[in-house]
Amino acid sequence: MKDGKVVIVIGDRMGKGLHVAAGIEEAGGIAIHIPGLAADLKLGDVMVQENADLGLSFCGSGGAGALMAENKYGMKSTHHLRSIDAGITALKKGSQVLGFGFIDNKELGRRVTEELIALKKKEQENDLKE
Amino acid sequence: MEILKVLQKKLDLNENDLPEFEAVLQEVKDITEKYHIQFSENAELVFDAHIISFILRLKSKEVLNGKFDDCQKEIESSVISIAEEIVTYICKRYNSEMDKAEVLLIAIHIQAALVYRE
Repeated sequence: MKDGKVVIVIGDRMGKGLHVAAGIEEAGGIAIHIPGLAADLKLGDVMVQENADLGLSFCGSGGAGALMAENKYGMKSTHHLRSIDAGITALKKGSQVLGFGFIDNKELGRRVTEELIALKKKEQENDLKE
Repeated sequence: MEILKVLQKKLDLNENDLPEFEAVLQEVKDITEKYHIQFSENAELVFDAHIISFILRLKSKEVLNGKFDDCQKEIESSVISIAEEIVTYICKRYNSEMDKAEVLLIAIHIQAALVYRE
């Protein structure tokens, strides 16, 4: 979290993902878009640098960036996701990195951010109870 | 092949398919080594995962979503040629048409290995 907002990093094999970033910002999150080819392979590194709450990886298989982050930093990841709903389910199960096929739209960014904010709020409420 | 065992778990691969994947991965490795392409341990893991995912896409006739022509100019032509050699071999083995997008995706892995050597 930064300034009370969730931080989400986007790494797309082709350097895309700007529509996802726009959806994240619209939903009240901070989007960090990694530019350039093979950006998904840097996802874990940037997540650590930015102390991010979530990473979104996009490539043909939906696996590389998530696998790399998992293998290098032990981040819990789910890969080969083919729909936003599948991503939301993985997020609810505690994944820190979501690996999708090529999807670049605002809806994905918005829905994932809304769900992440809701999860963070629930966590904070639980912490207060304890 | 140690990496294949790791990928079996991570990608939930069927035990019966492993010998086939191992044969393809070895052939691909022979091609990359011929051109002195060296992957870091992590990069090799994700490259092999990509090759396996590519095979699974061919088998299920899944077509990649997206247009990638604008990315081609950022990749060295020699790297594209190596990727074409790999995709040609795999497509021939699975009796499939060569997809330019798949060539570019493999080329990016190779170019990244050359640029971001850990």
